[in-house]
Amino acid sequence: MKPRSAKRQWFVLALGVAAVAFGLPRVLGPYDLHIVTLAFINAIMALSLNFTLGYVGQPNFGQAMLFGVGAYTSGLLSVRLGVPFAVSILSAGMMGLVFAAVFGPIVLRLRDAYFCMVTIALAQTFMLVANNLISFTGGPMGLPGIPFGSLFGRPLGPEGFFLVSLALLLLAMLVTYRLEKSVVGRAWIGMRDSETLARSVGVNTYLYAVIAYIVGGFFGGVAGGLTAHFTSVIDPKVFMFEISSMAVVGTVLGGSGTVWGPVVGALLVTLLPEYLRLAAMWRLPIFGLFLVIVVVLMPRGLVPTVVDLFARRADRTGPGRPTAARAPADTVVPAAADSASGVKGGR
Amino acid sequence: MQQLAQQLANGLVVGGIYSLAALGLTLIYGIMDIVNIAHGELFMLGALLTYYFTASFGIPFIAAVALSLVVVALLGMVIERTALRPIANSPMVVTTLATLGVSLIVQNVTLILSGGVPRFIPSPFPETPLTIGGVDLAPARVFAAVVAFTVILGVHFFLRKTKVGNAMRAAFQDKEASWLVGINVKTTYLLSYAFGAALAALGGALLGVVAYVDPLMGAKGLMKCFVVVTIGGMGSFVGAIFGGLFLGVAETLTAGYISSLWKDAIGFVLVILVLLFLPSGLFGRRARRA
Repeated sequence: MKPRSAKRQWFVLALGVAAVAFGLPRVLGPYDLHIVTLAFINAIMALSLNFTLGYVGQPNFGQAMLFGVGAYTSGLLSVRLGVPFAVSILSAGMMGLVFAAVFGPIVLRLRDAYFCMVTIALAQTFMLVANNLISFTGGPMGLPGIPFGSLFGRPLGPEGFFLVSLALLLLAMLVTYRLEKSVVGRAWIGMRDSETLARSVGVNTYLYAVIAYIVGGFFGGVAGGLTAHFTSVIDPKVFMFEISSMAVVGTVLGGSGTVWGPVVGALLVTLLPEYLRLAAMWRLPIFGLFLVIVVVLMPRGLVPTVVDLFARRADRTGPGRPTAARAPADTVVPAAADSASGVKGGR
Repeated sequence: MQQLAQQLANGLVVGGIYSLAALGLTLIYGIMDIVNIAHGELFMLGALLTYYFTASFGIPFIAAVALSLVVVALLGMVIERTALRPIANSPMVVTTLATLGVSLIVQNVTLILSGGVPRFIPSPFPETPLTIGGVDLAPARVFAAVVAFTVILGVHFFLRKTKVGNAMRAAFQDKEASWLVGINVKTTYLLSYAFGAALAALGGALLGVVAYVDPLMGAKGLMKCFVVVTIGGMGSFVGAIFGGLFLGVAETLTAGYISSLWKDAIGFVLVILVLLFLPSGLFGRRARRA
């Protein structure tokens, strides 16, 4: 990529972010602002799943476990101890990270079928525990009265919460982007294409998979913490399979294993049913249908497919640069060579 | 002692039902290399259809069960043709996504059409318990156990003695080789998925005889199947049977001696123990580690 066009891209991106941050709260009514904030939180959740599902390529269908851990951390800390908002959100992320660091090394000894089943079962176990430990979690009745929170001594209004969510979403995207371009990201993509090959050239795939799970744990916890403050009440349903499924649908619809895919997918999944006035009960079956259609007809997801479409058109009109949303298999080798010879942060 | 025998008997009845449903999951996995996330919903459909056929259409119980098996098997064929065949030989993350999509569709459409109310299948069995060796068993439970174990035996002979069964076992062992010797792998896949779906549906219908039926029971059924195949070893026929019985007994013992609140947790505890100490399950046939 030419440095000049890269610089221009960053400039355009910054302009876009500024427009969203300062424009949207003024244009949108309170209801729309609420929905968009929710969409941002869902996008953080989708990005948190994207590390294992998209980059490592393992069917993680239990991300609700880490989401729920974050939600209960924020809820309990702010209701029982009156901890400030910023500390509460950070703790939610850290607690997600700690739980991921404890369970990741166990579940990632497994692959494919077993990994899929155990991630689902773990989330269910957490739901059961939250249900049964009534004195600690409030049990099935839930944990009410979580404050909206305040930052820098001022209560967060809807607009403040919108900005905080946007900032954390940008952080999640930045971390995804940086990791994707690093040795870690190339190891992930290498093992997604062929774990055996990646291992045979010296990549410690177990370690990199655990890293993906832990980074995802942090952002899953953050998404859960934000949800707890945003909705003011949580119950054991934060561990529900539907929460994991929605993250999966958003990630895959937009394009898993990319920075923009999960964000676009989660925004679509949250905003479209709202503005198409779709009855709540029809949302899940229609998402299920989308999921099947995307998997069968457009396996890379919306964003990479559309980007390729435009790139191909650009190629036809002028001298273009080669585009490959998914790295070809041979990129495994440099990534592997780097880590094998101990070269750090190659780029 | 008396109480223990009673608990064991109840556990074996429920365990037989788990084995049956998990057998379907393990066959689909072994033959097609697919984790069927939709399995729980097919299980639920078996129970709910049996309810509708008996309570709403007045079809005799046995015929209603048979009819719901046929309907679910046909649905399984539709699922295989539309959602799974186009992505055959894809990585597992892709096929699980497809079965997840199918499960979302089936569960929520059923929920919309029938509402979330728990229902009871009108039981054709007398209420007075049979006493066998000091253990009281409701006739409905005896029926469920007898059917479950008969069908498990039947599946065994079907896989060993029939042409279709042998084709399935061949595909189970080596896909390319079975294709080389002239087995139609596509048809075998279609039949395998339909067969697995029917086993799930039968498990659901039998559970519906001893417990209540509702559109959300599928998620729970899926978890039980997961636990069973993880304990027994995924893709193992014997593992599914013993895993199911083991889980059934462990659950009733937990409910009886610890607390019914933690009944559903014992399976997950077993899974973690098995994964830590017996990484390929009790009867696993292939390495499960990366």
